[in-house]
This record gives sequence, C-alpha cells and structure tokens, in this order.
Amino acid sequence: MGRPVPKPTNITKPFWEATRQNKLVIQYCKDCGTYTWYPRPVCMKCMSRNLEWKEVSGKGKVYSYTITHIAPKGFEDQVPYIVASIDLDEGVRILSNIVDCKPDEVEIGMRVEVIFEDLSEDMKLPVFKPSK
Amino acid sequence: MGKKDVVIAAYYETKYARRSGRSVYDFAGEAASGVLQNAGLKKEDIDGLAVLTSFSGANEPFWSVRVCEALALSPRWLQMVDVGGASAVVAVARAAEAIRDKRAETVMILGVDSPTTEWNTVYKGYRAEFEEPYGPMGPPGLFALFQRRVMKELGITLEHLGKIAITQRNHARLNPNALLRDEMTMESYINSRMVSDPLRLFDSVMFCDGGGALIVTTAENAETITDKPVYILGWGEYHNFNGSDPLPDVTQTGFQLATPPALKEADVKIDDIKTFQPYDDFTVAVAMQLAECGFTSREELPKYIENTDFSITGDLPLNTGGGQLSVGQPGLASGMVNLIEGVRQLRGEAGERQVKDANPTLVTGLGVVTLARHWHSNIVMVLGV
Ligand SMILES: [Zn+2]
Repeated sequence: MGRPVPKPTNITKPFWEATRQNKLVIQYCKDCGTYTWYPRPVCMKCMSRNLEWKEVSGKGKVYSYTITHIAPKGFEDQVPYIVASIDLDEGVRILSNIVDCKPDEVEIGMRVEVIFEDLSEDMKLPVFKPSK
Repeated sequence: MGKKDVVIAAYYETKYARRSGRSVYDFAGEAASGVLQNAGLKKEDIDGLAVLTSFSGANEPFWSVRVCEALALSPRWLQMVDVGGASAVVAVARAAEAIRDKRAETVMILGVDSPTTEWNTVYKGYRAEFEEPYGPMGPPGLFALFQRRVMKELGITLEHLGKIAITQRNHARLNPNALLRDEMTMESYINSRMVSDPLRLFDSVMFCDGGGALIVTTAENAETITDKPVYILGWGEYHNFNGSDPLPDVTQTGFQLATPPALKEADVKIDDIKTFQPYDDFTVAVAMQLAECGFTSREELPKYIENTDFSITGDLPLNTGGGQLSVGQPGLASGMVNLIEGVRQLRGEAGERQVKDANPTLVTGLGVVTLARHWHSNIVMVLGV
C-alpha cells in the first residue's frame, strides 16, 4: 500500500517505537486511570501530564466502518478497502483498517484484534483483523 | 422576540465557479467592494473586519492581516475566525459581541475561498500520524463512519437522506447561482457514485470557488443603510462536544447544547421557526440537526423526515437556495451559503424561491471533521425581521 509514513514527534515516539516490536501501547493517566487516544500532551479526562504508555490487549470491536470506493492518492489500487473506528477493550476508539476480511463480512460489533503491517524499513502500523 | 440592537444590514454573494482561475484575494476584493456598494457605505465607515479562514490563503500565520492590507482597510477591530465551516456564523457572533462592547460599530465579515484554483492547505496535528496512514477518503470517508452509525442507531435510511438531497436540489433549480441544478430523483440519488459506503456522491458537497460578505452594525446605523435590517436575535455555540470522552456516542452532538441558549436569547420556541438553513456538508449532518436542534426527538427522527414537507411552500422550508449540497461548497467560506440565503429570505429577496413567511429563521454552522467522531464546532443562530 502507498501509505504515507508518519513522522513521529517527541509525544508520539514511544507509540511508534512499540509498534516496531509488535506492541500496541496507549497513554494511560496515572492520576485518573483514563486511557487517551490519539497521543496527546495531557490526559483527555483531567489534563494531567502524569501519563505512562501502557501495553494494551489489541482486542476490541467495530464501532463503525466504511468501505472505501474512491481512494485518496496512494491508495487507489487497494479499493475496495475497509476503514473502521474500533473500540479497544481498554476504552479508547481508534481509527484503523480491517484487513483479512471481505468488505461484505465486516459489521458493527464484530470482534477484531491488532496485527502489525510494515510501513517502512523501521516503522510498523497497527491494523486489525477479525478475531477467530 | 429578543434583542434588536445589532443587525445584518447588507450582504453580497459572488458567483460560484469550479476552477475559476481566480486568486482568493480577487474574490475578497469583489465581495468587499460589492457589499460596500450594496450598503451604500464608504470604506472609511468600516471600523471592524472579521475574516473567515480559507484553504487558499490561510496557510500562513497572518491571513486576516494580509486581507486587511490588500483591501486597504484600517479597522480598530480585526478578527480571524478559523472554526472551519462554523466560521461564517461564528464571525457574525464575534462581530455582534464587538459591536455591543463598543469595540467597533460597523463590521465587514468576509468569507471567500478558491480551493479548486489554489489549494494551499497542509493539515497538522494528529492527521498525518493517526488518520492518513489508513486512507479514509477525506471528510466523506470520515462522515461515512458517522453516517453508518446514525443509520444503525436512529433508523435513518437512504430514503431519508435522499429526501433531503432531492428537496435541496429542487430548491437549487430555482437558484441561478447554484452549480448543481440537474433534476435528482430517489433513483439517481441511490445510484449516484459510491464514494465511501454507505456515503454516496449525492450525500456530499462539491468544492467550488467564491464566497461573500456581510455588514453587521447597530440597528441605529443600519437605518441609513437599509429598510430591511435582519436582527441577530440570539445564538449559542459549543466546541469539541464530548471532547474528554474517549468513547463518545457519535449520534450526540454539540447542537444539543448550542440550540437552547440561542432560542432563549431570541425568546422563541423551536416551533416558531419558519425556515431552517442548516449547514449541509453532508446529508446526514442535516438529518441529525433536525433532531439535535429540537425540531423532533431522536426516536421520531425517521418519521419526522418522512412526514415533513421541507419544500419552499412546505412545513419547514429547508436550505431554500439548495444549500451547499447543490450550490457547491466554496471551501471554508462554506457557511456563507446557508447564512446569506437566510438573510436573503428574511429580506424577501429570494426571487422565485421566496418563502411566503420566512421569519424567524434558524441558521447553523458546523466545522472541522474530527478523528472517528463527527465535527468540532457547532453554532446555532436565530435571525429575524
Ligand atoms: Zn487523567
């Protein structure tokens, strides 16, 4: 896929370093116990900066999805493909792709789990596939 | 009704075009000069300027300054408004605040953009890292996620969304400045090209170049400008609704919180509203606003859409100029389309598509598509004569 390769910032670097080892980590607030997605400078619940990166299960369910028929630049040869919002069991909603799944097989509420796809030589992107 | 101290005294709308070949500054000049002429004002009368953000010109730190300088205006109040599609109506609110606080007396609001000629935008923040690698088809791709969830939870069908698209297209057929005027049927709506399932081409706007300008001033000053002042009776706004909830219910929006204060300030009830000019980047946004602004309940939304006549002669005339869905979306000047149509109807200047009794009207703005949610900014404004 012609996916654009992200340029990490000092905030997001730990996330991308973890994916390289096939680990999904999410910011967790040590003050109020809330997970925050996407990576931010503060906890989205209480604005604390007392955050740590916690490895999560990578399991969740589909909140919503769309089948892309007209694609942005770089994705044209992949259509039709699935873009989905996924509620992780730990309690954050993330945008991703569902792979290894036919467009007519995806549905709201479907259980999915993370896998990692190579983005470049030293970067990996978390995507999701249907759980068995 | 509510306060009648600040008014919209004049408006100007450019012609809309695809690939006009015109710089955003050219549109700024046309709109500024045009609204001055419509108001019968000299440029020295303008002591406040609010400039809407734009895809073409606002990718630098000094956009409103550049526009002010290009127009050779010297105001004592200058404001850039950058809440995406909500910017037009928010700019009117900011101008009214400034006028009430005596920071300015006569404010020009300028919303122009030329995205099909000059696309200069680079998005920052999370997008490059946590959105673009997954290839959603821009705002339509993200709104498709929203549309699917709304369809499932509220029982909204393609026929409901199609009714909105077709109604607005019928209105556009009476608007010589609308770019999309071919007849639309339920069949052509449903069979329109699939962009990002379930969202179709006719659920979505088409970019164009153009925009417009308004004069906002005191009721007193307006007496020498027009005998048709449009009163800014009340508004409410809300930004980043549910912004601290990591798992928000996307079928709830900030319009729930923005609408009650607008109606209260205007001293009207939702049932008093005679015309509705909701921001319409996508059909599902219009459908949701019917419930979220309180015309009906969430539970009754499907039945309400089925049973309500949204035509010019109907129960609640909706986006009477065709809305952005059929006029075209002039980049981030988008909200001017709905806003100017609201003003035009209240002044009785809508020609063939004039609603018999348009007063009062509800105009809305919504702005900036957010990650796996819907939109960031919500504003609801009651205008009346
Ligand atoms: Zn916290």
